[in-house]
Amino acid sequence: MRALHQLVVHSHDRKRGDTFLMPWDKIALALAGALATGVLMTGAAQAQTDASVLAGTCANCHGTDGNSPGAIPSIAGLPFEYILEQLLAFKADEVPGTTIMGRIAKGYSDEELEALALHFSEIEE
Amino acid sequence: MISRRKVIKSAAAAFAATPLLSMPFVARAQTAGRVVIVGGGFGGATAAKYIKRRNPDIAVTLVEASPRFYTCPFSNLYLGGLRDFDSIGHSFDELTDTYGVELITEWAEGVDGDAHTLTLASGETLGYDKLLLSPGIDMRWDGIEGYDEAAAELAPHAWKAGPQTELLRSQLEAMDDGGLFILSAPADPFRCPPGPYERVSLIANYFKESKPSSKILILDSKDAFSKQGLFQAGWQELYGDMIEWVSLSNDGRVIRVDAENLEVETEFGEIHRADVLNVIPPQKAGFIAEAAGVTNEGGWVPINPETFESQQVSDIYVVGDATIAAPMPKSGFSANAQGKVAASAIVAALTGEEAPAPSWANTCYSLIGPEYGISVAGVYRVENGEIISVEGSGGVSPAEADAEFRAAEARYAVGWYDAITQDIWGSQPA
Ligand SMILES: Cc1cc2nc3c(=O)[nH]c(=O)nc-3n(C[C@H](O)[C@H](O)[C@H](O)COP(=O)(O)OP(=O)(O)OC[C@H]3O[C@@H](n4cnc5c(N)ncnc54)[C@H](O)[C@@H]3O)c2cc1C
Repeated sequence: MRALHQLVVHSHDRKRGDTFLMPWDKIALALAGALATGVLMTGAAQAQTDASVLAGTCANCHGTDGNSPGAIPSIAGLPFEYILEQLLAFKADEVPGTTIMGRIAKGYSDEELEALALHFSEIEE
Repeated sequence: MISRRKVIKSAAAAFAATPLLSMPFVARAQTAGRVVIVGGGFGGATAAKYIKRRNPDIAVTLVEASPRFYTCPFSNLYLGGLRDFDSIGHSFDELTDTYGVELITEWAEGVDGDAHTLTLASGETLGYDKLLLSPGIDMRWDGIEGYDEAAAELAPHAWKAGPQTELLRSQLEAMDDGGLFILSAPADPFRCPPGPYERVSLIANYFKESKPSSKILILDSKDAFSKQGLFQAGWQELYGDMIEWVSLSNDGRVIRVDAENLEVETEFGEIHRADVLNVIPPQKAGFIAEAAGVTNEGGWVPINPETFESQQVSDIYVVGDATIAAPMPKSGFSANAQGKVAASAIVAALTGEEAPAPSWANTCYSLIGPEYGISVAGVYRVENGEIISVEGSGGVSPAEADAEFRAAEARYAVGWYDAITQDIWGSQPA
């Protein structure tokens, strides 16, 4: 848990335009550890956050498990770093030409976006 | 075997030959539990699939009246001549063949919450550990004077996709150029807040191409509607003054319908005569919700937002349009998202675990023209026992956007339809 919280502080510190300095492989490992039980505590008093529940609504546009059948990009099996970078950039309105993902990504904490990135990166295409 | 109207389909051939009554708890489900679902639409079919994905040992029976499901989403494209009707129909084959859901093609008639049983129209009874209802809406046939089921055969609502939708399309096709199409829109809450306005948009697109002197009049029981600014700007841009919108305050509320003469009367006594009349009446939760005792005085279902279990009857979960889930809209997207949350709550409950924290999103795309899409999005959580829209998230498409942006959202609208129908029924793009 500790590692995860440190990670979140890092990503909050991230400034617009900064290049990514975070060691992604370490983060992935830390997350994988934290998520080993399949859950992520979002706070002491709250119910458990389950990445597969968070990911449920992504399928509405990106297809079951993130395998899209149509015009919306597939996200299954993409590298963790890439998905997370994209999601954080959407949230910060840093992706030119974005139609809707900025509005959606703002609904999730950085910690949740990381859990989602890990979830989809681990699914096979 | 006694003759039965219903069709039982299942991956296990043995299922099909054995009367259900004699086997309320099939062998493999003895430990994992039995879930019965009413409604194979956006909420119910999603829940069936996602319960099975989480725990294939739970026995899931889906009771759905229709052998094939036609979606309201994209039925407006059909009305505008942009799709054929077949392309919005979906089968339950993936649910039965891939996920082992037992399908019963029959009407559910009643629920006994104490006994934990569901009764079918045939009189047969199904036992359940957990019941999930996603029956959608019913029309309030007493909502507008003169607008009953017989009137809907002359002035269709087309607010459930099926024969009503085909009737409206055939009337639009038969209408002469220069005719008047009137749509009467209901007050909130109702199924698909942007739906009536997308409908007039795509009918305007059809008129513009085939009957350019025709007019469209929206008589509204509201003073504001979903994505209003974007719709009105788009109408102006694409259709000039073809579409007129009359708000509640400007005497838009229809209080009486004379379907024989295609006439409507508004609150202050004005009579409008249409060539094609589309009345979308006030609505309530689908019949079976009321029969189960889960509706309130307003006709909708109060739920526990953490799980979508009924506040009134335990072990009955309700999702989709039937529920009170504001600020989530009554949309297919919401119904799907709620179906997944209810599925995880049911699976957790059957294994004695605590339900995981819920999270939902919604996106409603609307097409103003074939290459002109707009959207509204939201992300939702539970806070202090209530569903809230996450601060800073969601909202509508920008008012200022170029043609490329609108075209991209139109493409994504189709991408959304392809994805959600794959996610629910395993369909492939048309
Ligand atoms: C014109 C129009 C356009 C729309 N466009 C969109 C859109 O673009 N995006 C979007 O997200 N939403 C859209 N919607 C809304 C969407 O259709 C609904 O929100 C969605 O269908 C709700 O899902 P549900 O599961 O609650 O009900 P439904 O999908 O209606 O499913 C209910 C099912 O239950 C069955 N049933 C009911 N009672 C019984 C019974 N007693 N026994 C057996 N079976 C029963 C019915 O046959 C039906 O198949 C639109 C709606 C309309 C009218």
